[in-house]
Amino acid sequence: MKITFPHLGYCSIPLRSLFADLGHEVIVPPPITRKTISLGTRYGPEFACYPLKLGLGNFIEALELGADTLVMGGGIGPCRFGYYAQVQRDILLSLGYEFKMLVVEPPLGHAGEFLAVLREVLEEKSWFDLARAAQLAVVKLGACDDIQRASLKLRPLVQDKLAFSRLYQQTLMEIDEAGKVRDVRLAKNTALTAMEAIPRLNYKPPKVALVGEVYLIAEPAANLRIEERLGNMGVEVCRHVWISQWLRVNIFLDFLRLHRQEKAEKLAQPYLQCFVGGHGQHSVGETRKAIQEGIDGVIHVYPFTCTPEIVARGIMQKLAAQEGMPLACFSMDEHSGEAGFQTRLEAFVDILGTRSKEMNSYS
Amino acid sequence: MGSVSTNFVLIDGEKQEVYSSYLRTMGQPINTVKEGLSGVGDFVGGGQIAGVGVTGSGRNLAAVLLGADVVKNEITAHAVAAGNTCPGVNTVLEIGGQDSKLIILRQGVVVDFAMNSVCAAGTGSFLDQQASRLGIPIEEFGGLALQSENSVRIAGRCSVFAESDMIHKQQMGNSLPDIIAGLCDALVRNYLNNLAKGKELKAPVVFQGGVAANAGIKRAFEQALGMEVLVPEHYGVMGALGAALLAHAQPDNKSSNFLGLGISEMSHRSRSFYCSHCANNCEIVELACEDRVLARWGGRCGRWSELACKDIG
Repeated sequence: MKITFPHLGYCSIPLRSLFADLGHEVIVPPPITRKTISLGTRYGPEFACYPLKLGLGNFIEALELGADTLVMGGGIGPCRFGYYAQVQRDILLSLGYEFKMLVVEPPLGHAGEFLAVLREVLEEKSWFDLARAAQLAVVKLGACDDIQRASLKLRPLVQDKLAFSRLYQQTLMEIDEAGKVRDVRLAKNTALTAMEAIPRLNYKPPKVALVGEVYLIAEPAANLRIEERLGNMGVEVCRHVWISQWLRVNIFLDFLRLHRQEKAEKLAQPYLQCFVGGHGQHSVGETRKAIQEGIDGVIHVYPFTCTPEIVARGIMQKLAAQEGMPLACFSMDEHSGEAGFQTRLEAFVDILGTRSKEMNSYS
Repeated sequence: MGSVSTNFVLIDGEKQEVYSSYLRTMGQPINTVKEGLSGVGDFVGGGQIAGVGVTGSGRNLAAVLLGADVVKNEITAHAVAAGNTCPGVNTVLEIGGQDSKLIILRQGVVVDFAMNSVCAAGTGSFLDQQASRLGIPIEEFGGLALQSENSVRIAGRCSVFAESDMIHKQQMGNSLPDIIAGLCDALVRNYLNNLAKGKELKAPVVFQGGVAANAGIKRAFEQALGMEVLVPEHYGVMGALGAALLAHAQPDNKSSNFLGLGISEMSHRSRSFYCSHCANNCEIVELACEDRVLARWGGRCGRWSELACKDIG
């Protein structure tokens, strides 16, 4: 099998590791570029959201490189994502590609389908092999998340942002190449030490909570590298959606029926009682949490036409206005011009700056 | 430096505007800046420029070209200018060539803003286009709208729909002033639907940007909001004024980066290319003055912007 999968930030690192350790050839799609975007928007339905189009572009580029097995997430519920694997498969078939599509459905309630996909991927490998491959992949994912977490904290403070970016990229590459759990940990710890050692500005950065739809938060090519931009402007990004954590909650805890309601969902209760799909409830809850925690501003990112986040947005705007919390909402699509985006971000950061100055002068 | 116009404002040490010019960018930002700068040079004579601030969608280009001390986004620049011109302003409506903005201030501080994203339906370019289609100079557009007593209903959501609606009404025999007034109403409706939803618009309201010249739009805003709308004297150059005020606010002990009035005489050259170093294929833009590269930008990794300091070699 020549396996491929759509990009989601640095998730290609653990996924490549997982499938390669199970003895498959892995074809990681080329990074998302203008070419990916134009392929996706050309063949994707216009009013489907950006994640479908980018994923479709990834698949086309990987198929051109010889991939024959596509792994895609499934799902159920109001968010259209659960249906995207089927739509993408039909589009790709109509374009004349030959491939097998494996759709990973949530294990809870779809255990049969989930296990069938696993067996297909395992071929003659044992469950023990799977456990070992999965362990390395999970460690790699955790290490990437840790590096990202550190970069959100340190980027606004370091003087040499370019050197910092280089170190960050270098570390991800080392994690990608590491073959053992020990090597991953070593690469991560060395990088964290090196990041800490870069000279810093003496400055207390304003904090912004980045909330919204998970793909848009985790894929820099889709959110126009918002975390990096904010970091370079001297803003610390607080983010609550992490892939490793999402896996833990949605795959393992769900599966073991240990999943308790998360804090964000509870916080959303007075405003949004029901599950509206995707991360709608989370976005409302995270906004409330940011207000409680004294964060300086909230940025909401979601794909254009995303129903769950549009439901959340109306509530968030009212909540933010009531509480005097600066809120910027970005609905992202292929049309999102970088210049206008940068202008809005800068203006938003200016609001945070004047606010904190004002607060200091009162205290 | 905006998409449609490039404006220059000169202020004195007392923050008073002493000179301003409004030039159409005409798709040639570099030449327009040089032309505007030579106008400034003629006015200044032997005087000294103490600092330069730039803003607008072309601010980064202008900053490199001029050697700016302050590079500020146009939302903040407009808010600063409005706050300085009309102290106590709570709402700023700004409609420019390619985008429109709504800025909410309280106690002189920006607390919220909105900017149209991808659609040009509510902007000056669309008015320009319709004026030329009707064969009316844009300067007379607003005056004609005021003659109307019964504006017709035009769909404002999309410029394409608006245009076909206007043609339909024109063929039905509605009078030109009524159609133009209807267009003004539609544009204002579009602006308020897109930018003002969920926001509290409080008086005093200031209306600025190139479109503020249009009395028809001003009246449509007043009718829609039910309050007076103020148009400041220098409505067309408020962004530039804001940038100048921000440059003025720089500490006095800092020497200016300004490259001098002489740059309007030098030859500049810009080119762009795709970097093939990695799969990102970033589009790199390079600006050179005489034989020296002033800057390169557009890359994600910094490889090209770092090279900028060195001469072409």
